[in-house]
Amino acid sequence: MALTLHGTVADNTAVLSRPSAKPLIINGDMAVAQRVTTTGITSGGFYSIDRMKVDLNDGGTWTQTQDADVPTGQGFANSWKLDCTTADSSVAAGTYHVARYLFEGQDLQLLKKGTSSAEKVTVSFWIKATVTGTYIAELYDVDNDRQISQAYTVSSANTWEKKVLSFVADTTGALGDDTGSSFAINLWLSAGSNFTSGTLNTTWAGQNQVNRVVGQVNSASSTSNNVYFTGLQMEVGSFDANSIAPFQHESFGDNLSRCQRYYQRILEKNSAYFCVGWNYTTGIAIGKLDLVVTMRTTPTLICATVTNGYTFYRAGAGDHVDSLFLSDASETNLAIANNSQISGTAGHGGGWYSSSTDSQLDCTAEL
Amino acid sequence: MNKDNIQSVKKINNIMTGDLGSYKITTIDGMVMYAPATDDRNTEYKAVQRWEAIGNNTIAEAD
Repeated sequence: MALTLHGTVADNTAVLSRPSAKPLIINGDMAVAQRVTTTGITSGGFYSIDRMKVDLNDGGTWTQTQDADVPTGQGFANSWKLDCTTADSSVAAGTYHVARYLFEGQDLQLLKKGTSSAEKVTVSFWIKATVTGTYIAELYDVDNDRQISQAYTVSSANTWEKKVLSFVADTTGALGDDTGSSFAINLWLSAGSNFTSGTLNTTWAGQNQVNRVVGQVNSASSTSNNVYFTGLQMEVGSFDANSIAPFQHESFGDNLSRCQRYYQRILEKNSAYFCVGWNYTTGIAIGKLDLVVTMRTTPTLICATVTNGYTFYRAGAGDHVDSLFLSDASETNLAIANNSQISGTAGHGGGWYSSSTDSQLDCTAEL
Repeated sequence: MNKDNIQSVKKINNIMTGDLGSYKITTIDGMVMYAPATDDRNTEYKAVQRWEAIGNNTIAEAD
C-alpha cells in the first residue's frame, strides 16, 4: 500500500520518525477503565484508569474516576480524575503521592539505555489541576535505581494545560529485557521533606531521595482540589511543544486488548455464563477460563464474595456458591473451583454462571 | 499491592494435584485475591514473599 503524505515534508517528519508503530504508553487517552471508580483511596495501586497507577502514603484520601472533562479540540473523550476527599494540609516528611506509568523492560529496549547510543526521551501530557505552581515529573529506572527530575508549572487553576518535557539520554544502566517493571514516568502530586529537602536532580543519577521532588506543591491541601490527566505520551527523541508528534489515538478495541495484558475483567455482566466446568468429584466443581490475551505473568485472581453470586449449572440443576478460588493458573488460562458448596455427580459437565450484579471475577498481572 | 496491604495469607491446594495451587490473600481493606503459587514476576506473589520474610505466617490449608 502506498504511503500518502499530507502537507509539507516538515509537517510529516515528526510522525514518521517514531521508532514504534504503536504508542509506547498504553491507554494514554484514558479511554479504558475496567475498574470504573474507586473511592476512599489512601494507599497505592491501580484504581480506575487501566495502566495508570498511584503510589500514595499519608497524602490525603482520594477518589479516582474516568471523567469526560477533557481539553477542547484535542480529540480526547476521557480523562483520569483524582479528587481529594480528605485533605492533608500538613505534609509529613514521608508523604508521597505520585501518578505513575510503569513499563516492562522488554518494551523499552529501543531507548538503548545504558549504552553510548542511548536515546533522549520526551514526555507529554495534559493536566488540569486546582493547585497552581511547581510540579515535578520524573523518569525512574527501576532496574538500576536511577532517576532524573524536571519541574514544570501549572499556571492557571482548573484549566487544561499541555506540558512537553524533554529528558536527556542515560548512558548508564541498561533496562532488563524481560517482563519486569523497569522504567516509570512519575508525575508527582505531593511530597514530604524526605523527597524535597535537597537540590532537584535534573541529570540522570543514582537515586538520592532528597533530590527527587524539590519544589513540589501539595495537591492534597483542600478537599476542593482535583487533578486531571489525559493525553499521556512518551516519544523517543527530544521535542518541544511545536515539534512533538501528535498523540497517536488507537481504536478502543486495540487499546483494551493491550490493557488486558495487565488486567482482565472476566465478569462483564450479571446473568451470563463465564466459563465451562465439570464436577471433578461430588463436592468439587472446577471451571476452566481461557484468558482473552496472554497476560504479563501468571495472574492473580480477584473474586468478590457474594452470597449465591456464582452458580454451577449441570444436569438440570445448579449449585449456588459465594466465591471461587484459584486452583491453578498460567499466563493464558485459569482453573477456578469451589469445594464447599457443590453437590452433583462426578464427571458431569456444566457451566459457571454469574448470578448477581455484585459478582466480580478479575485477573491482574500489573507491574 | 505490597506487603503492607496484606492482612492474612492462606495456602490453597491445586484441586487436581494436591500441590500448592495459590495463595489466598485477604487485604487490610477486606479484598480477597488469589496469587499464583510460583510466579516471581507476579506482584501479589512477591508481596506474599516479602510479607513472610518479615515474620508473618501463611496458614496452611486444612486437609
